[in-house]
Parts: sequence; structure tokens; C-alpha cells
Amino acid sequence: MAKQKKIKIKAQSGHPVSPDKKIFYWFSVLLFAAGLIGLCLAFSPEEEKVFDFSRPDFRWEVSAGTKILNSAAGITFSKGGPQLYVVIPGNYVDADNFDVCDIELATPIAYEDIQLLFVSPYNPEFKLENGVNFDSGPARRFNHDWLNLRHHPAWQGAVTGILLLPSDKIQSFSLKKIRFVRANLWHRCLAVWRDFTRFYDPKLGTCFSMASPLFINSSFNGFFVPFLWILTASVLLVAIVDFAFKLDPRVRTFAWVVFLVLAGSVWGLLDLRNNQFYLKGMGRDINLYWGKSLSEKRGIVVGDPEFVRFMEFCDQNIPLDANVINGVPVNLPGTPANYLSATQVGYILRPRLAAGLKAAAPDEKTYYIFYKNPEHKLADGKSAINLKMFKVFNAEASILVPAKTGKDLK
Amino acid sequence: MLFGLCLGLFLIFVLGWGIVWLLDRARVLRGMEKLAISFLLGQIGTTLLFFGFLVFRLPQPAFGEALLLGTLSLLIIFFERKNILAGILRIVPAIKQGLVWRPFNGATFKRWLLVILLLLIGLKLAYALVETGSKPEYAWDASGNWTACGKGLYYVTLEQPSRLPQFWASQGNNYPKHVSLMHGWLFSLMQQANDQWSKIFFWLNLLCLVMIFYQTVSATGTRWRALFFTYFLLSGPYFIYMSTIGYADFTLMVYFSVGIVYFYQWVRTKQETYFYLFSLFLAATTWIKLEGKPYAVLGMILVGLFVWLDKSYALKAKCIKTAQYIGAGLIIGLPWQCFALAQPWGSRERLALHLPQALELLRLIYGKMFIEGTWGIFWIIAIAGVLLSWRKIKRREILALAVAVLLFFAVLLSIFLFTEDALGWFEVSFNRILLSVYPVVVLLLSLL
Repeated sequence: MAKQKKIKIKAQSGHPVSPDKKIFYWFSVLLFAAGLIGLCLAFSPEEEKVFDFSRPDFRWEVSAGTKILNSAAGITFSKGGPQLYVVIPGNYVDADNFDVCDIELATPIAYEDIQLLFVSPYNPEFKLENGVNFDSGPARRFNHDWLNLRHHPAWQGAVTGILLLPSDKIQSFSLKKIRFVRANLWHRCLAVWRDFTRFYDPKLGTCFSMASPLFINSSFNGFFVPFLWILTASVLLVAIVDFAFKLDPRVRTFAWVVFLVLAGSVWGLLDLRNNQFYLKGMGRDINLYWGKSLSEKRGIVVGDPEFVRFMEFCDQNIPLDANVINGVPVNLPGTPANYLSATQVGYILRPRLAAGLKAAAPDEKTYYIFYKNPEHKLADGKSAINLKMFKVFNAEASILVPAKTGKDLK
Repeated sequence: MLFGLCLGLFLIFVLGWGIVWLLDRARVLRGMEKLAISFLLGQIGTTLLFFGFLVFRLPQPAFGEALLLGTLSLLIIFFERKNILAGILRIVPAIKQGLVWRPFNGATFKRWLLVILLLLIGLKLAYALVETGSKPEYAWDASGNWTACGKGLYYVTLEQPSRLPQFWASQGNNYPKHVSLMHGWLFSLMQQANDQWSKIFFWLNLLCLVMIFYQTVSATGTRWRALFFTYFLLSGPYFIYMSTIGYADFTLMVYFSVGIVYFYQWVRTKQETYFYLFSLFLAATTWIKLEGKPYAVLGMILVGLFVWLDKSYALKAKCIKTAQYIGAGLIIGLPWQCFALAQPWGSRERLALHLPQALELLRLIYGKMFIEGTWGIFWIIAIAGVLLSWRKIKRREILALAVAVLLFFAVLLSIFLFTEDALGWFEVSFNRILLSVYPVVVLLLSLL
């Protein structure tokens, strides 16, 4: 009776709550609760060890030749030698106590790769393979880069040395503070998320496979395969039962909903990460490439600007009816094996077709191009002999011709 | 330079528009879909024309073709002036309607979700555009093969036209040249080998695929469903990445999947236009990569299954359909195949049996599809989706898609098991081959 009354009142009101509105209200409540929890977590106290570069009594070292500019905002380090890095030696950090690192730095290139290396009992020297990579964030402003060290196998015991190593592309960077934190849940989540959404330039192998960071060297991977099997087996079971006994449509719908929630959560998490990756990628492209000439862009994108300039120099100086012999080594630092030699030489030079298809014996139309190849080794491993200089680009890059031809030595 | 680029793209579109105008006599194609098909078919038309100009050594191939297409575009504009004007006039109210602000309340919650989906789709497309258009070509095969050949064609026709036969001979492989010819065409009209801008046609291909996909799903479902599955299609990171690097695999995927999409549309509606489009797109794949030939055979098997086994067709109708499919394949595909045979390249397409490695191959495939992470959980979703809704697959048009997917996997296995060196390239080629069927599987899921 009471139930009937209730229905009557609801009907009289003329404003039944629509399913859309219900969803909206619940969504708002959930959002509010999540915000409240987030705020509580964000303000909970945490223990920290700070290396403040603006303090005069703080001792640090830099790579040879590095220029240093001290300002109120922090210290700017500029490359003056072959490498650029900053070391904090002899300071004791208890790795078992601190699990997150917050680095406040600014770089001229957006989302560039930087490595934090450290010395611990499990890693007695600064090893690249034991470093922690992170992206530097948006360009030309100080960013907090949160690093998750919790699961790093070598981050244990007393850490006695810290080294910050930016990639070769970075000519200068500014540093304010490096903090090691026993992080509250909020900062820990931030560090995990930063690690998960870390930007990296797509590599040449990306066209063959493109694994999400969830699947590479992560603890998630250990859970993923069983998850995959259980999910597939459950779905298969439902399908077999449905085939054999013709399930009630409601049971089928329920199975669909469970599957969609599980699959949607994983897919949504991966897509959230991809979206942040895309935003970072756009920021980086705009910062790094826009406003530059095609040649400069090619230099950046192939990883060796000097090589691109040298190839353009060769293209201008070698006649179109020449026979070009490629003396660019297969292995060059900073680029994948055989990349510059096999693809970029032929790509940047215009076609030289006069020599025909087969490599002819060296004649007066033969030109050798050598780049970072002081022994003038050719593809067969033997050194080229009886050559004379034709054009010099710099100490490491030049065009040579056979000595017996009538070409002038320039 | 940018004027040349725009002109090149516009002429491609106009040629395609002309082809669509001829094919779609029943006017079944809708606005957005028509634009997308025009651009895709225009590319194949431009490739064929440009190739013809180059092979017959006609002077100034790009200029000559541009003149021809320019004349055609003027004719089309003249004859279609009323439709074009009406179309332009329809755009303005549509934009105005889209910009009307609707207040946010519970009743419009779904609309907001639609807006979020649109923003996510926009973000993915924006990333693909910025990534494609910001940097020159750098990826291995793109700079070592696809764009390199286009660049070579541009310089040879410009500086040493008499050495064109030597240039062809120097290519050293029988890879089809659609992507290279597209680059060559755009370089020629831009008057410089600007590989940063010429890559833009890959992004336009992505856009065309998205438009066709959206229209196809929305033809049988709601706008909500169509947008959701368009977002789902674009949320594959490998799919987006491959659209930015200039590999021919992406273009192959676009043509193959659009071909299968129109096969599905033809089975669903029995409109002849869709069958023509299916035949043309599948034939076009033979111009893009070597895998195009097995894909064209796959199309032939589909015709066999859905025309010859269909008792509602008379024998004459069956023969006509088969002839149409084969005819499209010959007209489009044969010129390149004949040309390639006449060159001193040889071929890597040799038969060999690798049946003893079949189990090992299956293990490798399992790793690539499910464990390695390139596809995330996509293939799990696909398998589960099919298993949970297997009853719906009995519907003829959905069955057509399911059979196409199964045939694709049969083709994929046969490539690795019955050709000489494909198995050796498994590690670097499998995901790229699998990419071709990705949009078809997403479409299949959207219909379940």
C-alpha cells in the first residue's frame, strides 16, 4: 500500500529523475570525493633531503669546460667540452628511506631525454644502464620532474654520488634543486604517472613494433599475461555455454558488461597515457622543429646535423655524371647501425646515374666520400688507397678522388 | 611551394571527383564519404597518369599531367557548378548549427560525452598532423626506399630526363611505386624535394579513412556509436604512429580496408557503386606494396563466396560481377606488373614451403599479437567481442566482414609459410602486415 502511494506521489510531481541526471549526480559525488581525497593526500607531510643549487655552501662538480652562470632563479650550465653533466659527490642519501626524486630544472628543448645516474652498493659506478631516464618537460621554464625510484633494482642502501646527464642535443640547462623524498601517496602517484607517460622520440624500430610502457620491463607485465588468459578463458566459457545451452539474454548482457568494464579500464588507461604522449609530442615538435630550415630539421631528425650539412656539401660539389663511392662508416655514435650509411647517403644526394648499375673500376669520374672515417675504410673493410683530396668539409669529412686522375688538388 | 602542394592535392581530388561522378550514377555516396573517396581514388588515377607520362617519356610529365587535370577540373566545375554552389551554401548553416551553445545539464550529459569523444578524436588527428608535417622523412624504409624513389624521379625528370630508363633500372627491386610516384608528383608541383610537406598525403589518407569509417558505422548505427568506434579506431598508437612516418604499409592499409568496407556495404545494400569501389580499391593495393597481390586474390575469393555461392544471382550476373572485379584489377594493376617484369630487377616473390615451422610461426604470432604490447589488448577485445556476439555474425553483411578477416589471416599465414624469405623478415614485417586488417576488425566490432 505504502509502495503504491510512493509511486503516486512520484507520478504527480511530474519531474521524475532521468537516468541521465542520475548518472550526472553520481558522477559529481564521485568527483567531489576523489578531489577531497586527493587534497588530503597532497598535503600530508613528507620527509626529504634537498640539494639546493642556490645555496653557496652546497658543493657540486661539472664536466670539463662547462660554463656556469649563477642567477637568482638557479644555476645555468652551458656545454664547453665534449659532454655536459653535473655531479653531486660524497653526499649520503638513504635509498631505503627515499623513494621519489624531484628535480627542478629548465631546458631549451621540450621533453628532452635526461638521465639520473647514481652510485650505490648495488651500482658501484655511474652506469648508463642503471640510470633513470625522464623527460625534461616543457621548454624554457622550471619544471618539477618526479622520478619513481621505488622499484629500481639498484636504488638500495647508501647512495654516495649523483650525476645528472642530459642528452647530446642539450647545449645548456638550468638547475634549481634536486630533492629526494619519502613521498606521500600523491607524489608517489605523480612519479609513477610521469614515468608511465614519459616522452621519448619514436625510434627507427618503432615502425616494427610499438610496445606501450605498461608492457616493457614493468611489474604490470607479470600480471598482464594471467589477466589476458583469465579474461579470454572466461569469455570462451561464456561463449561455449551460450552455444550449448542458449543463455538467457540477461546473462549474456551481464557477461558483456563485465568484459567491457575490465577491457575498457585497461584500454582507457593506455589511451590516457597515449593522449598525454601526443600532447607532449606536439609540444616537442613545435619547440624543436618549427621555424627551422628543412636542412636543420633533417639534421635534428637523423641525429647528426653535421652529417646532413656534409651530404649537402657533397651534393653541391660532386658532378651529376660522377660515380660516388660511399665511405660513411656503418657504425656512427648517436645513430642506429647502418642508418646514415645505408639510407641517408643515397637519400640526400641527388641520383648519379652515369656510372651505370655496377660499380665500375675507379676512374676520373669516381668520387669517394668519407665521414668520420680516418682510415678511409670502404664497405669491404679494406682501406681505399691512391687517393688525393678533392674537397675538404672539415677535419672529419672530405671528398677524395683517385690520385692518378687529372683532377686538381684543392 | 605551398601553392604547388595545394595545387597538386587539389588536382588529385578533382580527378577522383570525376571518377566518383562516373561511378556513382545512383548517387548513393554521401557528402563526407564522397570527398574522402575522391581523394583516395584520385591518388591512384594520378599515379597511373604520372606513370604513363614517365613510361612513354612524354616531356614535362608533371606539368603535362597538371595541365590535363586542370582542364578536367575546369570541365567538372563547369558541369557541376550548380551542385558545387549548393554544397558550399549548405556548409555555412551546418557550421552555424554546430556552433550553437547548448547549456550543460543532466539531459545533455550524453552530448558532453560526445564532445569529449570529439576532442579525443581531434587530439589524435592533430598529433598525427603535427608529427607528419613538422619533420622531413627519416624512417628507414621511407627514406631508403619510398620517398627516395620519388625524390629520384623528381630530380631525374628535372635534370637528366634522358637517363630515366637508367633510373628505373637502378631501383633494384620490384616494389610497386604508388607512394614514390605520389611524392614525385608533389615534389614536381612544389618545384622542390620538400619531403616534410609531401608527407602530408599520408595524413590526408588517415583523414579519408576516418571519414569513410565514420560514415559506414553511422549508416547502420547511431552517431554515438559511430563516434565511439571512430575514437576506438584512432586510439591504437601503432596505427597513429604509422600514419606519420611515410611507410607504404599505412597507405596499403587504407586502400585494403576501404575496399573491404565497400564490400561490406555492397553485401548490405546491393548497390553497384559499392561493388565498383570494392574492386577499384582492392586493385589499387597492387600499386602500393607486394602484399597487394595476395590482397587482390583475397578480394577474388570474396567475390567467389558471396557472388558464386549466392543463388539469387543468375549465371550471367555472376559472370558480369567477376568480370568487373577482374577487369578493374587488370586495368589498374597490370601496367605496373608488366613494367616490373620488363625491368632487370628480379623478384623476391618465390614460392617455398615452411610447413615444419608452422607451430613456431604460431608461437611468434601469439607473442606479437598478445604479449609484446604493440596492440595493447586490442586482439583480446576483438576475439572476446566476436565470441560474445557470435550469433550476430550469422547476418550476411557481418559474415562478409568476418570472412574477409579470416581470409586475411589465411593470406598472412600463407605469406609466411609458402614464400621463400618472408619468414626471415617476420620480426620486422608482421605488425605492419597485421595493420592492414585493423580498421576492418574495428568495423566488425562496431557492428556486433
